[in-house]
Amino acid sequence: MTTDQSTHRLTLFTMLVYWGCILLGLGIPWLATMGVDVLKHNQSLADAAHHLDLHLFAPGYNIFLVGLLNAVPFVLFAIFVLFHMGLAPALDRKLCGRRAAGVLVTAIGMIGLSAWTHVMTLWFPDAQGALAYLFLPFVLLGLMPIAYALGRGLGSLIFR
Amino acid sequence: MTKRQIWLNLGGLGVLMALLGLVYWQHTGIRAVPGLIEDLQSQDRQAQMLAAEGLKHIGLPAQAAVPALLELATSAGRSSLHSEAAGALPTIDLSAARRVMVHYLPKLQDPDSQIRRDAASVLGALGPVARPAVQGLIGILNDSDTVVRERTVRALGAIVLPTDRVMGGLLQALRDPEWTVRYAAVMQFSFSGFSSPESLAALRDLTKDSNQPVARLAQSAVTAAERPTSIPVQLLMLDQPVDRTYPLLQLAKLGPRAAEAVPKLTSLLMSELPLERYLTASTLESIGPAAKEAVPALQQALHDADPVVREAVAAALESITRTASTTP
Repeated sequence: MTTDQSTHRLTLFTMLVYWGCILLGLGIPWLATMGVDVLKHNQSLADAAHHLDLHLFAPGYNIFLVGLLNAVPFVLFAIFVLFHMGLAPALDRKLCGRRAAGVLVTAIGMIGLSAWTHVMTLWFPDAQGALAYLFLPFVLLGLMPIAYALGRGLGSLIFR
Repeated sequence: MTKRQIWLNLGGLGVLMALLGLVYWQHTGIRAVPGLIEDLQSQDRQAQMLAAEGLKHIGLPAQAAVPALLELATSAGRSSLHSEAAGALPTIDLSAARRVMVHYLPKLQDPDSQIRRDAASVLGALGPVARPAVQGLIGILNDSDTVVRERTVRALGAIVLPTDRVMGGLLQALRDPEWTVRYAAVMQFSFSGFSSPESLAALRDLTKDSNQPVARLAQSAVTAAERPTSIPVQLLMLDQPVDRTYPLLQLAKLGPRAAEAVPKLTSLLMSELPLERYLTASTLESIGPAAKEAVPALQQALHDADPVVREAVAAALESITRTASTTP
């Protein structure tokens, strides 16, 4: 593989993870709201989108703010990825592979945990459910180094 | 990646954050009012309910929505919409809220029980502003329809003022033959800070009620009554830049025992919000002669721009001076 190809692939991977994390962090609560409306309340996709639109800024719901709150750890992680992967030496396949494994495991872990929390909170509504939205960003921040260490360890096994 | 690419991506993130901030700004505060008025005038019930709730939170700057809210609160149709629209009015326009009250007050005597139920719910949704409706509500505490009686009790609990009459009505409801009505009455004592020696005695009796939910709730009401409302806590809440309705009503329920709150209440007579000025004057009225030091500020408030506030101020002055002159 040429230097240009390696650099191009690394750049593409970094940008995909960077923007993917930001947009999913923002959109997971909105997608979860629509998903639960469609799957649990048997609404059409158009009705679910209308329902989301009505509740984005409604007092007591504020789904727009919930999205912003959820996005905070994802944005921090995305910035970390931008520098960690973006400045990695593209030709050092072993180092790049290990870092990519760490980043991917962390991203998947964060997206999975966030999506699961939002879907469960909406699927089984509870008076204290909204507390999950407050605690989730902190839990995601705590998950980040743990998931990265796991991914990096896995990467070390794969890229020897 | 080159450093330039990294900075470009960071810049993109900055632009996205600025856009999100702009979207949020456009959809909150006074800027949201035109959109919410459109929602009120739509045929989408959920949009109407959420718009009314949104306008209630915006408060005074949502003046432009008053005609649409009045229309929704008084038009024929669903009662839940009436209550939601009526509930938004007190924070925006006290006089408009009073117009809704005047519209519903005669309906308490309607032969159709559904109309009486709706009227009681709407009057309750108006909260303390519907104070002149208390006598009418007490008058239907013996209604033949259980749901009317239950909604009347909840309405009295929401209106709160004047505390002595509301307390009398709630005491009457504690002896209602229907358990749902007794339950609604006990709830007012469990969570809202209403308390008196008579209510405590009645609640103690109800701890032996044959209906278990009523007996359990009465037990919690007795426990709540034994924990007196802390005036310093209410004063602390009044210092917060949030909705002051709750602490003001808690102080009103304390009556003369809230005398130490008078200096703070006097300063609140100058509040920007008519609802706060109205509640402050009503609280001073409940305190009575012990609020004597508020008289100069109340006399100034007699020139308040809002007629409903002026009426409450006049009632407060009468309560303070009349009772003071009869006290030896």
